[in-house]
Amino acid sequence: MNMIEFRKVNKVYENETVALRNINLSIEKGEFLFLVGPSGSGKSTFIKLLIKEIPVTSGSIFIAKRNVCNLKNSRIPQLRRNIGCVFQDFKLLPNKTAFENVAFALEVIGKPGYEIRVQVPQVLKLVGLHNKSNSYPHQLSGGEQQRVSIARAFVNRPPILLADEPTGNIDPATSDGIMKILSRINLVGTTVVMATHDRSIVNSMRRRVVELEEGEIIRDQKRGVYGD
Amino acid sequence: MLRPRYFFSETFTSFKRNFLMGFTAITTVAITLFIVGFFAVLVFDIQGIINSIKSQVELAVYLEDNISVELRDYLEGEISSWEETSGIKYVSKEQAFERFKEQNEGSDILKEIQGNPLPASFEITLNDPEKVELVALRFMDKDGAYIGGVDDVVYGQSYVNKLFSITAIIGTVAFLIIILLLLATVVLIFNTIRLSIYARRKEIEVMKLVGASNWFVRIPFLFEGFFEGFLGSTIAVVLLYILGNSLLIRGERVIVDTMRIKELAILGSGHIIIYVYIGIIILGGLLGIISSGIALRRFVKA
Repeated sequence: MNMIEFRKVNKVYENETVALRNINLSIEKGEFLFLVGPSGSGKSTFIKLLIKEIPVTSGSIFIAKRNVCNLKNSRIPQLRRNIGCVFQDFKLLPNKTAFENVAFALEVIGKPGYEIRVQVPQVLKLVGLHNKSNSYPHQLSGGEQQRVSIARAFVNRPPILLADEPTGNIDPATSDGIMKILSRINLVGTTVVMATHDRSIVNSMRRRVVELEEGEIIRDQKRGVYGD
Repeated sequence: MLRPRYFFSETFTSFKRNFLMGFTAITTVAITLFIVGFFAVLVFDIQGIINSIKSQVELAVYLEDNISVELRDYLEGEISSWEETSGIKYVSKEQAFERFKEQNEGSDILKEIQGNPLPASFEITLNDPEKVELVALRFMDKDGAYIGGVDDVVYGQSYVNKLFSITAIIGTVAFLIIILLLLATVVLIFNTIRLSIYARRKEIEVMKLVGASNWFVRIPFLFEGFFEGFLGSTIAVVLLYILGNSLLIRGERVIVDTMRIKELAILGSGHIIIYVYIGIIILGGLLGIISSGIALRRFVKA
């Protein structure tokens, strides 16, 4: 089953920059996909379109068979509850502990307290931070902060996890740990799309690789590598 | 999925966190609404003064000294029968002189007066002060001379008119000031709330990222706006009560003394003032909510 499908998607920004050009792409349920390419090739635009942070210029995007392009604004929160997001800059709230940051994601979607108290420790354990749940972001290393943000993205068990340069601010040794967690999340059936230009990670994982250049797909390879 | 406890705690923790910002907003609301309230009370007061002056407009008809009792009685009956007349009082020469002596007690003027130069008079009160000129004309014949027995008719028209126009101007100016101040309040609260939203934009970003509904993001800010407006306006009312009250009452005394107005709807005695206070508090809360609603529109697209 196609979890994500792009049909003839074009994205032109207001300043007339063409970010994506005629994108056709299907991503299956449970797939792990690397989106690679140089800065400005359209990777971030791809992710932003998926969570409807920005609208498409033309074409359509289907998520779980539903066209999200004509989704009403009031339905966007519902869409985002089904897509976990991880970013290069973590986007953690500095005045909340690791536990609170993860719990926040459940609070704002109206989960009751007892569910929060069960689910948050579980997911913190999954990312290996169960003994740091009371630490504030500034007390954690970059890698640990990113693991908190993955925990937050995954605590709601969304079918899709998007990661935009999740290892961009992290050293290679720590990045391996992050990739292990993402693999584990993928193993339980979550569709993972990761934008990156980290050559060694892509080469070591041997997953599907889609390469973008100036807004166009120039390569789509099963069990691919970063390229030359 | 309404969770009041979450919203309350979110409102107050955010207020604690952005204390300076909230403090600024509350102070702003308090000061502007205090001034608004001050002028509102003033306008109501002036209205009260105008009304009481209007009800006190009198016409004094001075009688000739040699008027016969029959003519006097006839005039009294005639005047009483007019529909404009709400009251008529005969003041004899003696009563007039007594009154004069009372008003000028201890003054040298009394020593210089020989006999009783004051005329007897009818003091007429009207139910519609606007008709004063019309009534006065009835004491004249076609040639403009006073009818028999009447020496003079005095109603201080120019004085009353001047007073009316002055109070009307004060009322209009105060009203304009109120409108301007309200606008200023909206802009100031709006800006303060916008700053506090801006300070929390990261939080909003994360909320939207994890799929919080728009109302979920908005409600704490609306609460905050309401809370700040409500607290500010309550402070304004307390200030008004303490400071404004004593000032206005003193001011009223001055007006009462200089204009020789007998009874006034003295401030604080009427329940209008309570309505002004309640109005200000409601206004403060509403201003807070509305301003944060407008300020939120840019950050939380519906």
